[in-house]
Amino acid sequence: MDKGRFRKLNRYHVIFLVHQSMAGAAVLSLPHALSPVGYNQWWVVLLMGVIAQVTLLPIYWLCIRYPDDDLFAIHRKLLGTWLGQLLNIVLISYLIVSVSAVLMSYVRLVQSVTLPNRSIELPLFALYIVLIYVVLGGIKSIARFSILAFFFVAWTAYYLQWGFFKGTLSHLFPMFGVSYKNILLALDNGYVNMLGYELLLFYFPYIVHQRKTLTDATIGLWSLMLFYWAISFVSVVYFSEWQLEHLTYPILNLFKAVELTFIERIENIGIALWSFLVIATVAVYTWAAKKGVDSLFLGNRTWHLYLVAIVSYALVILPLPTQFKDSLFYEWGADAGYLVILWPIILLVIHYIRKPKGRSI
Amino acid sequence: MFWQWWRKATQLTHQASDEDIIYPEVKGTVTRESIEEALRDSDDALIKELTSNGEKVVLVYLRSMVKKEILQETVFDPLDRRGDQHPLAVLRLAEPVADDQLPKVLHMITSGRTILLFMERNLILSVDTFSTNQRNVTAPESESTVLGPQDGFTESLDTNLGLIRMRIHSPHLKVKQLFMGTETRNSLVVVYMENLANPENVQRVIQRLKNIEFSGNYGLAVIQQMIEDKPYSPFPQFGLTTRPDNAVAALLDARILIMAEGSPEVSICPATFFEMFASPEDYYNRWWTASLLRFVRFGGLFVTTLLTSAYVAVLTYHPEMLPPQLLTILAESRGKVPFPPVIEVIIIEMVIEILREAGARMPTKIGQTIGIVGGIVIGTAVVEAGLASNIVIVLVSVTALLSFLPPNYLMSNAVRLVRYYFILAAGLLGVYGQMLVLAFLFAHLLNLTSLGSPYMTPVVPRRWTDMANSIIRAPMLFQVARMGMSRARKYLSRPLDEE
Repeated sequence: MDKGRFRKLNRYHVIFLVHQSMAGAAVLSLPHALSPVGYNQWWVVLLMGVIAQVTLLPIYWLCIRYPDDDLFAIHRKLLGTWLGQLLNIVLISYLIVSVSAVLMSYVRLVQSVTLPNRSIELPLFALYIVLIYVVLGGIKSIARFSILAFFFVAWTAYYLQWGFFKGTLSHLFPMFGVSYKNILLALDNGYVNMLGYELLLFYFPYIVHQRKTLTDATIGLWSLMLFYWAISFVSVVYFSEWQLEHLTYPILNLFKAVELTFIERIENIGIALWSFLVIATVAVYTWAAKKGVDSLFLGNRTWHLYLVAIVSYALVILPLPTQFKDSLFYEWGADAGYLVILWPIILLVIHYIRKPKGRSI
Repeated sequence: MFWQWWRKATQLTHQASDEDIIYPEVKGTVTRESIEEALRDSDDALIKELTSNGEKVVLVYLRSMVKKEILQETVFDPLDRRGDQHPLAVLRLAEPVADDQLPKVLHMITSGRTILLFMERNLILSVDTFSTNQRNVTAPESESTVLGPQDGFTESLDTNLGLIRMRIHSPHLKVKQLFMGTETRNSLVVVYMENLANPENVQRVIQRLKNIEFSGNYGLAVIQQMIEDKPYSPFPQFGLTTRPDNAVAALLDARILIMAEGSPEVSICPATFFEMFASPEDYYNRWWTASLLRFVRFGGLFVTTLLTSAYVAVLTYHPEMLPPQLLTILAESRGKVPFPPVIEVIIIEMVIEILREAGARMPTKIGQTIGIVGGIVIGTAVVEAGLASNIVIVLVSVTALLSFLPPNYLMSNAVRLVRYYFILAAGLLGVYGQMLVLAFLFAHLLNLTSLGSPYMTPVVPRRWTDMANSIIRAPMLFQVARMGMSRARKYLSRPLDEE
């Protein structure tokens, strides 16, 4: 785990961290989430990219003013110890809920597709073991894992070609015939896929070339947008509007379109491979949550990580009402994420109002 | 309770210096009596008295380490023909020793030197007479190649150093000697190119070697395990070779070698994961063939870990993944087998492991018989009896063959061990389990370091130039830089520009 606060993330690490912390399990249902705009979703995706780019700016501005502090420390500095710690607790619970949300939706999918006769506990437990091991190595280990996961999974984009050639290109037209209300609805549903770049607020103190972070994060963001765009483009071509609206995991059906002579039902492998992406995503959240517990107790202890893991595991496993879980993970979790993304703007305002003494920036 | 005991047991009691380690418990001046006292009950120790030019000389040596002819040539003949000259004038190779250094003198005797005590002059001389029977330089068995030099390291440290010096005639080649082992007190050397190797790395190796405290070594691979970065990992983090050309290539790439008395192996540090799959023959081959072979070795790693476990996963959880024809073949082949796939595979894997181990420990002639009996007789009988299917035998044999591809023996063992995790995970959770173990394996490999440098370079690279010599072996034209892993003082290995 990270002993001492060394600057250790180089520019590649930042690019892939941004890229991989966004690509989680939610991508599997991206075309479904954007279905309110129907066939127009292939350009609405790019709109999400633009929004992310714009909201990235205040995050970067806040970070660059506090180069040695993560969001938890910034809270304490700007809002005072009591209010800051209180907010940190809320923030930690957001991070933990995000971890649970991603893992639950992924493991449920694994269960329904590849392991229909198994209960959810063991697959989830195995996933947590790997997750804890990756996080134990510290942020640099997570970044390295992200790089590897990217190259390990990115080649599956090749499989999109089957969907593209089997589909109908005329689905792309007419363009732009969609109401603003539907666009907003689609953005609200689909923007969950963009959550992840706000984690920059937590690992920023570990970056070596902090001034170049904005460029690196932008590269990471738009390289991911390229994948999102390809997925939604092929989905538009391949599926009918009814399918987009009613298939929960359209990516799986895209996998089903793949025809190889020696193997069938390629989605089994696809789903299993996705675990790399999921682990890379969740590892950053878990790491950030662990850092939060550290800052709460003012000490770097390994058991803080186990605490985070146990709480998030329990959130998934505990026999809470399904409705409550779903609204906690998918509605409140997403809304909290949107809030965290916008939060730096408010912090920046507070920063300028009570400008700490002796600070030149 | 246990942890307290463990901490106490593993605590370093003191930092031993080079001089300290040579018999720190023996004190005193060098006299005939003190030597006799120290060597009592060692019946191969000879203490002889002779006169040379009317002077009384006491001679001490170990019969087991000194040949009579050598003794005659280097000591007796010069002393007989000496006339009234000073002993040092005739014993050209002798070194005088101060008379208060009893520990040093004892160490000299036990390492095969002869001590001469000139009683009337108060002069003590030591002559190098070490001469025991040694193996000749032969071709290394564990890393044989078709092309290239056919000499291998032996158990003699001096011979091994000579084999390296024979290839590098440079004063920059430094050899730092250390004495290791509280009981054995034998020597161990750290070899490096002073103008290339990273001084921090050299310091780190020497420091780690000095920090270990143990009674003695009987093979360098043991010492290597004591100074590796992550001792609990199944993967070797330092290279181990028995070939001088391999060692020289490592030196030129700014690595550091550790060599020990009595070990035909040489440790290379730091080392990367990919180097474990490279053989020196890659450089003697054309680059196309070399790249292909490297790719096969490395791809073999994935196949050997994933093939049998995929069989288990697919048959247990996802039979629908197979095309109907293939599934029919599998179903027919497995018709009589009473076990679930995971048990079936583990049994056959274990049988192969047992055959390999039995074959390796037997004399060559019996070993071949074991191979035939095990491979053909038992294999056929098992299938006919319906204990395993044909296909499992085929898959397991292929994975067994592939696991022997890495030229590094330790790595090939590690790969075979890792395979069992994959099989068990596939039995528990199917393809998903396999991928989780793979993710864990990658995370583990990414966490490993060798002397502080990341083990998985160049996948997570330090430099892009490393790519020219990793999974592929690029043409020599493109191999212009040293590996980033070794953090060399000179980045380029060819004078392309003024650095």
